[in-house]
Amino acid sequence: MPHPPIKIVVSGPVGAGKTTFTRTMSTTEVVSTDEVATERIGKVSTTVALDFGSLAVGEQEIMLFGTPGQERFDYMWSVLCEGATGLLLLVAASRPGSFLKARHILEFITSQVAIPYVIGVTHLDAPRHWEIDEIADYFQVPPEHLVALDARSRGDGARALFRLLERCLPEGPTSGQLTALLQT
Amino acid sequence: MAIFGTFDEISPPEALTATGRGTGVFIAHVPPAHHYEIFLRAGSITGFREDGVLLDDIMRLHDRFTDLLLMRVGDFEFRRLPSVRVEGSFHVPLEQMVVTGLACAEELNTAPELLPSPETVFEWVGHKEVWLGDELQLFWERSEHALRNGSTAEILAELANTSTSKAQWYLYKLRLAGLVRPRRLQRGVPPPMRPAKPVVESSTASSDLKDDLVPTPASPAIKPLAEVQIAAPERPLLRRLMDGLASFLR
Ligand SMILES: Nc1nc2c(ncn2[C@@H]2O[C@H](COP(=O)(O)OP(=O)(O)OP(=O)(O)O)[C@@H](O)[C@H]2O)c(=O)[nH]1
Ligand SMILES: [Mg+2]
Repeated sequence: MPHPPIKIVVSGPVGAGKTTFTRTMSTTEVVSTDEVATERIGKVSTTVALDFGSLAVGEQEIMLFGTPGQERFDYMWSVLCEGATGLLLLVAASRPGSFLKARHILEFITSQVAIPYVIGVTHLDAPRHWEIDEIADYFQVPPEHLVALDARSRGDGARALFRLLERCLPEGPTSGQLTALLQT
Repeated sequence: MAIFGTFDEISPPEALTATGRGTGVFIAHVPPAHHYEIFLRAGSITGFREDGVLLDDIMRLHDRFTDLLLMRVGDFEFRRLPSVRVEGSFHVPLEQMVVTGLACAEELNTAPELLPSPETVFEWVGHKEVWLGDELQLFWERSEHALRNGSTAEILAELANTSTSKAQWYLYKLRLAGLVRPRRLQRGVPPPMRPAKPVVESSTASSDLKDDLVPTPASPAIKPLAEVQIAAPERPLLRRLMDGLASFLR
């Protein structure tokens, strides 16, 4: 019998790729609430409430809850994190202006609840970007808590979710065969 | 490798600290037309060029560096260089320069949005000989004990008899000094006890007043983040999911 759905919170600043990630990974129709951006945020539409998607992995369902990238929804954190298994925080390596906000979000959450997390770094293909190690230093987290991904790639998305689940293992991530399997 | 950004989004102290123990040149352009180059070797400042002129006096270095720390506009970039191309003959640890420079900055010159949330829990990292300046030193002494169990700007403000925004600013400085860091709760490890708030002896009248001032949560259904339950699926399920995800890649 399948376990009840696993809940993953996908967060991060505006334009990090939360909606794209949810759409790329979902096997069911994604419910998004994108609207034309009223502020100048460097893209046409932004998510104003939530992105919700889900994917079936074998018999098991993973639900993805994308948070809005704009700060005013702060109060939602406890609702979003309730019953979640992990947190995927997306940041665009090409937008250092958004790092501080992302770091504040991560610290606000992980200093209060013991939720396993990984930082998914997008936009590493941009001509000008911070490297993964530099971002790890800035966030003051070990580099193994970061994973490179293009939110448009299903393989990358699967790898990011894998890394997150690996961090949820009771014994912590093992550097074992599964990681090796992924690298092949 | 590239560390770059603007000072309105990453403050100069944090931008400089982001260079870690790197070797290279930190270049800053500050409007209208100032140009700074700070040469770094393995985390120490060796040279400081202001508008093309290489400083040769240590007092001048402190003075100009402190000014740079307080800039609110401008952009920066860190370029890694081979050690032989690093200019200047100073040898001052960057971290120490940042802390000393900031200790002198009394006023809250960091925009509030650059400071962490007053609810973020910080913890004590360890002992270090750093000069903090009188005010910060006093805050540190008053809050050190609470920080050993993890504490927030909101709670420390009460303990240290200061405002929450001041406590946020002090924590920001203590973090740059490497004395505190945000707590990262690990699963399986029970969260540390919240430090007891100081007993405030107050009349009923004043506590009523306080109740009026404390904003009530938007809905009683929204519980504090610290009370949220995280789901912990069992290992066989996680392994199955990981195997399934791995097959997405084949
Ligand atoms: N080049 C590149 N583009 C990416 C990458 N990841 C995501 N994108 C694109 O980045 C853009 C922004 O992504 P969104 O998914 O809208 O970002 P979001 O996080 O949902 O943003 P908000 O809803 O405004 O908070 C989209 O056009 C994506 O296709 C990447 O790694 N490289
Ligand atoms: Mg979106």
